[in-house]
Amino acid sequence: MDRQEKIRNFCIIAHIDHGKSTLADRLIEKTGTLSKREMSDQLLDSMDIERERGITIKLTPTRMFYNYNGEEYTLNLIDTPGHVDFTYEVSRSLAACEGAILIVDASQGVEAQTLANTYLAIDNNLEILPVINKIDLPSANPEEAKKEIEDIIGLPADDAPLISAKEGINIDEVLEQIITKIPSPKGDESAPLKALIFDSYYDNFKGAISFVRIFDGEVKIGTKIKMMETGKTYEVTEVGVFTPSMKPVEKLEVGDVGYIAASIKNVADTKVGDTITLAEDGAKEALPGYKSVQPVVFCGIFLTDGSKFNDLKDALEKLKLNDASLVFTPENSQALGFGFRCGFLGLLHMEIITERLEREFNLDIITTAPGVSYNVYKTNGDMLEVSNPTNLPSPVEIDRIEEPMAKLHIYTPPEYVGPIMELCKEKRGEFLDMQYLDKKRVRMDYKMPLNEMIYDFFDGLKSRTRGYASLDYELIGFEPSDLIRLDILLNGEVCDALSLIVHKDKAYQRGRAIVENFKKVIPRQMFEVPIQASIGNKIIARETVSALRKDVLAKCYGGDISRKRKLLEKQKEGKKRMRQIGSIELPSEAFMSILKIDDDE
Amino acid sequence: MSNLGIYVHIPFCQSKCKYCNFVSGKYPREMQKRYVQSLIKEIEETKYKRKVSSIFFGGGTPSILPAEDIKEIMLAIKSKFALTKNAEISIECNPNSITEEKLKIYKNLGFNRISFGVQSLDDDVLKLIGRVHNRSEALQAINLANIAGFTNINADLLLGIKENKNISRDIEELKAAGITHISAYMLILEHGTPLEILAKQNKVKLLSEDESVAQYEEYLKVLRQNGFYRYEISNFALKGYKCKHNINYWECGEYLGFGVAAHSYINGTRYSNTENILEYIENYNNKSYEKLTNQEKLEELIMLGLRTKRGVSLKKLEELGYKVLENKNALKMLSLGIIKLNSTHLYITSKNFGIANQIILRLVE
Repeated sequence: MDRQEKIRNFCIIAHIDHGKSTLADRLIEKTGTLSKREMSDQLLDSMDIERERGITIKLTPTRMFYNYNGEEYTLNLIDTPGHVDFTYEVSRSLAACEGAILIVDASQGVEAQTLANTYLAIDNNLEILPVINKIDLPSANPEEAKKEIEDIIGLPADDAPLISAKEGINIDEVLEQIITKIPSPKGDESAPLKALIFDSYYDNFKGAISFVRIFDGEVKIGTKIKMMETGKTYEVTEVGVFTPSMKPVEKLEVGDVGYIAASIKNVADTKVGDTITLAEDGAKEALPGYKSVQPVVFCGIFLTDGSKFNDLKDALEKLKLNDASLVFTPENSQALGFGFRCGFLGLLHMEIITERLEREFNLDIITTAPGVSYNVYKTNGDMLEVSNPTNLPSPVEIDRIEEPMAKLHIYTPPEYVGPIMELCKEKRGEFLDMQYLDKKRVRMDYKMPLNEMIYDFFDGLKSRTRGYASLDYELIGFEPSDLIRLDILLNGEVCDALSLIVHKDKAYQRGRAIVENFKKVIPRQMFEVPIQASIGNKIIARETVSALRKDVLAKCYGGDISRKRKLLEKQKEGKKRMRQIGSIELPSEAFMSILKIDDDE
Repeated sequence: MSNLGIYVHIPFCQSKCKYCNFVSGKYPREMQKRYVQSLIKEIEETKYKRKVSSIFFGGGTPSILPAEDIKEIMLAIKSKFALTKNAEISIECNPNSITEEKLKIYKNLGFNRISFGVQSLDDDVLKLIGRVHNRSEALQAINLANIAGFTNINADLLLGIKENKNISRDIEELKAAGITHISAYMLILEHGTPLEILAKQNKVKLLSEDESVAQYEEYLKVLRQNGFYRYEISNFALKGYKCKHNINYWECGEYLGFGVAAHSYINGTRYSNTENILEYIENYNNKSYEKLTNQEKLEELIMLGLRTKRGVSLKKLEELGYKVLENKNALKMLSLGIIKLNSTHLYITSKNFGIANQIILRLVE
């Protein structure tokens, strides 16, 4: 029997909270890959932040063995991130597999993100195995879930195993279907090496390590390899498999999932989606689907303590070692000093990075309001990409500005259609289409400026649909728009870190809301502080923070002195978290608060 | 040799006021006796032998002790320490625990300054904050002190209570009664006090920041009109009646504190007695201490010095390595007119005393 016949490469597609990690854990346990004792709960999620939020970002593959009808099969599970920010990474993981398990929650049914990833899987010609999870819950309705899979996705779901990953119910049935329904790899062992990179990470000793699926040929220590996208060549120093910890093996052969180390200095050289082949007489054509990943959300990252600039630089460089999609360039703000303008795949990616900077590198950072990158066409014919509002040329030099647009797919119970339409309208959304998928579910398609979408659209959608709607989006290029820069002045001076690019029709409303909100977040200072919003030289909104007049007029005698000094120490600590802007002290949250404004207010 | 002050803490009160979080309270006479014995031993066993320029009996309410106790304590101090010629010797009294006889004894013991916890001359306010005296008792007590021959008399006043309305009448009457010094301080809701609970239940209305500033400013105006000169954030005196004992604290002078919860500062070290009265009685010499670093000395110098009208001595600042004109925050506040410099001192302009904490914070940052 051909060895490829006994290999199954698959992944799991699920909505957040529908039980992906739990099922993965059960499969690992059931196949005896790890004993219960060796498993920390939800083993595959390795980063703290992921664990805390219950979302998976990085893919951690696992090799398992399972005996079926007297034959031992190798099962390679490639985990996929569940968030829209990482759609491209998902697509490459899918491309490394022949099949996918689709988990649907027995009480919640099909969600937007699941659907989007299922379509991605279908596009990649994957065999889809629907699985109905959480059948142990009292609210479970497996028949309805099956019907949704058939009606909405169009997949037969009769045979779908009814399981409870949490309780370990019917896990064997899932394993059997993996073997009987998912096709085995069908590569050519004698063709030159073709390995798809579906993830990579940086190891301090071995350099950048590629996680690969071997489509053709084989690779072992000493093989001279070439990255087809970059053209760079390396000599392989180690190959191995995931047990799930990384274990060196002699060679990786056609159909295998494993890793390749080759003393590569940078993860930017192990691009996700790239094909590894032989340096000499390699494959003529790369595997399809490579895309260079572009950041879509940008913000400035600064420190409350400006003297630690180098620490921030080191931290970003360390994160970049493992995250090629993070981009950053030095930026100088009058208000905040030296920092970086950083680009991310989406808001979640941004939050993850900023949280890691604070948590893992112990930095007190200030982030400016996230925005997108605009194409600014100048009257002299030049085109500028502007992601920092401060760099927007003066209006007389601008011919037109184009902004990135997104196509949104929203899935919702019908009763929320009205509120969603309202919300989309507020966010400059353009209605495209609406479809009743069944009695309980509507799909709404909208075109919306990406910038509006990142500006508290998710929160708005959640609150107006009580969490019932789900959302997926794709970028669909640039369109001209009537955009201007809104400046915020503190004590008469423009604070560059607070400038925003907004649509002309919304400038007044936004300016008003920002100054009102700022009045709440800025503590009283030693003098009166006017807060103004302006467009060009025109002030469109103003509030005043009145001067501090007293704090405490207390006695201070012999017995109080040490107590008073301790109080002073405490106040000093508190003050460290304040950022000096000109002669004004701002709490660092103030910079993000600019985003936390509900348009309803 | 610089000044040395002595502080004696008497932690006994007739009843606890609703806003008070000092180490004080109502205790049986037996406890008082044991306390006084330990206090006297602590004084007798001190190793310091210096001339003393001020003595202050504070509390609590020293005047609720029998006069013989005060006498014994005073004799212990005098047998241990010599006094400078013009030494200031004060005792805190509650208006209704004072008698002509007690005052006479105090006078004979050498006390030359009386401090009354008047708080307010409004009976409603007094009731609200849980004081045991009323307006007429307060005025009567001051009168008794006059009769006993005291010419240097302080009244403590509590500010920041909405019901305090007759501010100018109160101050005028106090002055007419013979008050020469006023300590006026803002009510602070200390954690764990009954007043804090009352305020949380909305049974006592506190003033907003702007209202309390308005009330405070009215006090300032009336005090000024009556000749009380503000020489420290919360202290006002007629000419010649500043409190030497407290000035010594604000100038970072040295002092010895005796009694429960008392602090001493001598040779750059701060000693603190236990705050537990039973523990003190058993073990009165068990002090914790901290040796101040230069930075801590500097912070205290600024924190305390800037409370006074005169300000903090530039010479003392420089001795600790602090150069005002090289401090960014100081320069900014100088340019805003919040603080000022003369040839010897750095000081807060009177208009900005209310935000002294914020100013101090920026200078020591």
